[in-house]
Amino acid sequence: MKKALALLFALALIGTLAACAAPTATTAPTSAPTATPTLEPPYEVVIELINYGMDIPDLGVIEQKVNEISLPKTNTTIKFKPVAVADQFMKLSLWVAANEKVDLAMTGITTNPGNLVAQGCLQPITDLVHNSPTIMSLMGDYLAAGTFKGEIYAVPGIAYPAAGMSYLYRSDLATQYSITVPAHVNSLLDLEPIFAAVKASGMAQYATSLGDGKNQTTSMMDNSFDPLGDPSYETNGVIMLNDTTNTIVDIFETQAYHDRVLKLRDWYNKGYVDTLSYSNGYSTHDSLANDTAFGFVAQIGAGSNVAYWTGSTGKPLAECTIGEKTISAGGAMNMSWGVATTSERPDKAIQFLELMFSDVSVANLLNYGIEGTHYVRVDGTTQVIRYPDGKNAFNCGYGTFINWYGDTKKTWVMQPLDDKFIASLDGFTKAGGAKMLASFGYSFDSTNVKTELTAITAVVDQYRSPLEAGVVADVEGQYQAFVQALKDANIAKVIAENQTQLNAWLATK
Amino acid sequence: MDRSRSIRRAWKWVPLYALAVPGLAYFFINNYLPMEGLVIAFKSYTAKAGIWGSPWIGLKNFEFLFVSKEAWTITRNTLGYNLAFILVNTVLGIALAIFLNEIRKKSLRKVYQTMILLPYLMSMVVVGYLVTAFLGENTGIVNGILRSLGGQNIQWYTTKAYWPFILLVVNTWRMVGFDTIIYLASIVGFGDQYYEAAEIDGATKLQQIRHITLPLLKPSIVMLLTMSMGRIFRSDFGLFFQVPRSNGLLYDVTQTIDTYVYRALLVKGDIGMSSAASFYQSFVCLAMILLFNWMMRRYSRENALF
Repeated sequence: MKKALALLFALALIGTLAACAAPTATTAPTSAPTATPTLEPPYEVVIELINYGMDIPDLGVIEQKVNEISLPKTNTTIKFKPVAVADQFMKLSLWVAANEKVDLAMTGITTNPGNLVAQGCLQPITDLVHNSPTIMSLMGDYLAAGTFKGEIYAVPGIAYPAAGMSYLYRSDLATQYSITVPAHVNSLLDLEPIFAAVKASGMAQYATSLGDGKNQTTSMMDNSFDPLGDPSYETNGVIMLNDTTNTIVDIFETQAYHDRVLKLRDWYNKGYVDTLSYSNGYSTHDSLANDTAFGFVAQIGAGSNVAYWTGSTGKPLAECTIGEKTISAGGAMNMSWGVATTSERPDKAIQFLELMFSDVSVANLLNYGIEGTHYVRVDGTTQVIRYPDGKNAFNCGYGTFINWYGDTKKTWVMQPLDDKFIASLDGFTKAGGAKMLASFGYSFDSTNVKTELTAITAVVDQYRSPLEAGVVADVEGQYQAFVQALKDANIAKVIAENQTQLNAWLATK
Repeated sequence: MDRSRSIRRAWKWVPLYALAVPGLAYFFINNYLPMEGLVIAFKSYTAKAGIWGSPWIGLKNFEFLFVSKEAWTITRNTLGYNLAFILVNTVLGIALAIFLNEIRKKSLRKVYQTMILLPYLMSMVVVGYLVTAFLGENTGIVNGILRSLGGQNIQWYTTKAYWPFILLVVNTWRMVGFDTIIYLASIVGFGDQYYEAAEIDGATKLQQIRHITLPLLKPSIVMLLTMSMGRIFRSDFGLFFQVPRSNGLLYDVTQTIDTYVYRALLVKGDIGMSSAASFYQSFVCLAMILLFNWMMRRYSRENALF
């Protein structure tokens, strides 16, 4: 037995070594020391900087440049706290738990302000926001999205929050095979004749791709429902836009959804969609980028427009918009700012936020760094910039994850975006004709139905993607099993709870 | 007189125990100190209130593991796959160790040994892509062979029936090297005299294996089995998540407790509920170790680990 014990120790040692060798969590790069720690009055605003988790060498220089403006104007200096996007929620909640100072926290991207408020990570900033004229005039109605129990906790970072969907297709192939795609259709179904034409034209590409079926619902349902602040997972029930009674339903149980998945399978059988994308794990735009699809349906927002997708897929694209653009709370909060509970001076934090929206040079520094070093202007354009020759986001010294500091309409834009992008921004506002969803500003508190929600999430994860990628031969059987599984997971209870809360919210409106 | 001798004898062991200090310190810091966090499983945790400040909510965090219809599927898959893995890895591991030991040419033995161990060091993401290279529908090697023999493509990634075997093969290919090395280390340590004596008595190779190697290996086998029992309610997340490509059609045979917890809690990021799941797994594993060891003690006292 002694031998076995010795072996046990040896194993333990191996385990230790393996643990050391294994790549542990990426350590956040330490930021360079702040430039001017003066006597007492200037307040240091700690600002979260979301990035890909890589080292950003020039942080100190940017901080210094920003301080040169912010110190005289607001008596604040800034200090970046870099966070890898994957750790976003975990880092913020750990900082709050450890009482570590954070002033401006990014409350969008992989987190949402509702959850952060529930976790006690954010503090109310209602009065401070009301006293900030630029923020008030830019965000106006959108501020409701960051309001919880009557108090503002988060401010939208983008004043152009609408989202719609479009069929993006290869303009070069359309010309070559003389395929005419309209500029707008009301429903994805209206594209069926185009798909048939693509198939008949004899080109090597499929008409479209359903990708790996992940996160499809919103786009394949023509943007025709209100997800009630839950943009990517329709687990809490939704309101169909053609329903004016604000009745929450299980979207997967609706006739519209049923018909749509049958249609997708039909397209799959007819050879309109890339049949291999599901098992190969290609997303819809992967299929386009690797030349297997002629077009794909994309969600379109101010930041993810045709120019963006052209850059991302590397193909010349044209656009056919589908349905109407809507403004959801989730969309407005996609990039948003809150003040952490561990901020010592929330007033100073909001003052800096106001400066970021009103002073374009601060916003440009935060977004893109220093002209000549991190970017250069593009000749013949008004606001377009590019990386200096031989540089890119990963080696220019200041490549960040988001370029949404300040008012997007006034800041530079990075290629492949162009001046047209700036002009298009107004179309993504309420004033520009996008529809505010009835539930805008409502958020669902799921505490009472946590257990049910986990089961529903798991069911949706299991059944949805194969159905929406068209790979299931027995659509009817799989669909019925899906609906039944949702019922078994007690989605009715979640919807009832959601409806009660929504009605209470509507009553106060 | 007697006492001083025993002190002196104990003193002799001090340097040896000192050697264990870094390892023990590691275990204390890494494995025992964080146990304070176990209370999160019984609390409604919020970041602001912290671990001790958050309110107690009893067993509410555990509910989600049991109310779902999936509870049976994930329990069956987790335990079933683990039992199959333990069985196959033990049998194959011993067999490979014996084979390797019979190779006389030292350099060749090292080559084989390394080749068997190599997959163990590979990331599961890479393994996932290797499997796709074999099983991809149009581009995979296996379907390529089938087509060249005049057969049809098989849709590996959408057919449930194949996956228990695929997962078993992948797991064995990846993990067997580790067990093999441990068994081989034991076998090498046995020394030649038993085998020489047996040879003089006219024992065949098979008889030597059966009557010398296997009985001598028993302590190692029992120890590795006990340790496997300690992991029986945990699954290799990478294997069950990356290799089947997180494909919903296959969940009936690929969903284990770890992947279920990941998928169900991904959206909400509820720390209390994920702690509860982990607590439950640890509890079952501890129970299994104790049970297995108790059975071993009944069956052969001297081989039980503790």
